[in-house]
Amino acid sequence: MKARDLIQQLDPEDGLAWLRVAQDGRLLESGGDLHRFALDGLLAGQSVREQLYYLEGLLPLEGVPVDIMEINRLHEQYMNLYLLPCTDGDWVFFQDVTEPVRVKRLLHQSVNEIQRRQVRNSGGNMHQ
Amino acid sequence: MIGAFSVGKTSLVKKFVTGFFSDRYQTTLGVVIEKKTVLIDGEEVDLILWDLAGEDDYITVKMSYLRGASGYISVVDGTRRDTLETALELIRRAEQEVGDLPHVVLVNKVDLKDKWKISEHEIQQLEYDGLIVLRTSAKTDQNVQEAFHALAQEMLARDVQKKDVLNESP
Repeated sequence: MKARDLIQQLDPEDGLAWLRVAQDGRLLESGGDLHRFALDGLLAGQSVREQLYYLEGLLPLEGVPVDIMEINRLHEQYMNLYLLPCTDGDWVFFQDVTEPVRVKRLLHQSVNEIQRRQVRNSGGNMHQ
Repeated sequence: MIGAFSVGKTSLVKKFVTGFFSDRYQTTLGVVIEKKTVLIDGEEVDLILWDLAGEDDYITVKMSYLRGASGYISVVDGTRRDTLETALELIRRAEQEVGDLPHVVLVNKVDLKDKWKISEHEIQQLEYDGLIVLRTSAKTDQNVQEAFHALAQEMLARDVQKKDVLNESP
């Protein structure tokens, strides 16, 4: 798979950024809206894991794609991570999903609060 | 961190990382990633903590998120009996996905011990089955540091075992 073809189809306004990482963990290049994800200070040629601790354990991909949804790392910012193994390295795509997650979280919070009340009223047992 | 919803996973992580506790319940969606460095036997260990959304009617914990993990903590709410069943089911699914990783079971909300629906006998049975179990409270800070240190120690011990095996192999 060629991630470069994918990049060409993506709109820079979509709130996306990407990294290309060598098998030994060095950052080869980066692009997109890096500032949005606090990625603008990354150093090419240096270990990505040392610069982005939350990628620890995920790289190298060893041929297996990984997606991790709704990561909250920066204050109130949510992002999806898509890690794609390609012939020219492992690609990491960052997608900002703050707004849809904010709405989903409000709704989910309401559901869970109702269930918590039901648990308290039933003396501690949930019946799912 | 895995477990049913509202068992206190986020509160335990927050207490451990920042020292703060809030009574206000906030649903976790997806995953919150935190980092804390601890000192284990004189060695600095960086813990990257993934606080996963709790299992409920709408969310199934994605076990693929344990890929690359060195260990995990499953959390039970002592006041909700069904959360123990959820935790045991999650441990079973985790073992299927990533094999036998170091892990610790926390029976949380020990500050509400008089309202617990899980008996000491049941907890002792878990220990008898080989699980490391701690009774914790993010509210009173009981066993919070100890819980994460216990996991870190297990992970380090496993690391040493692996290195020993590699050194012994011809």
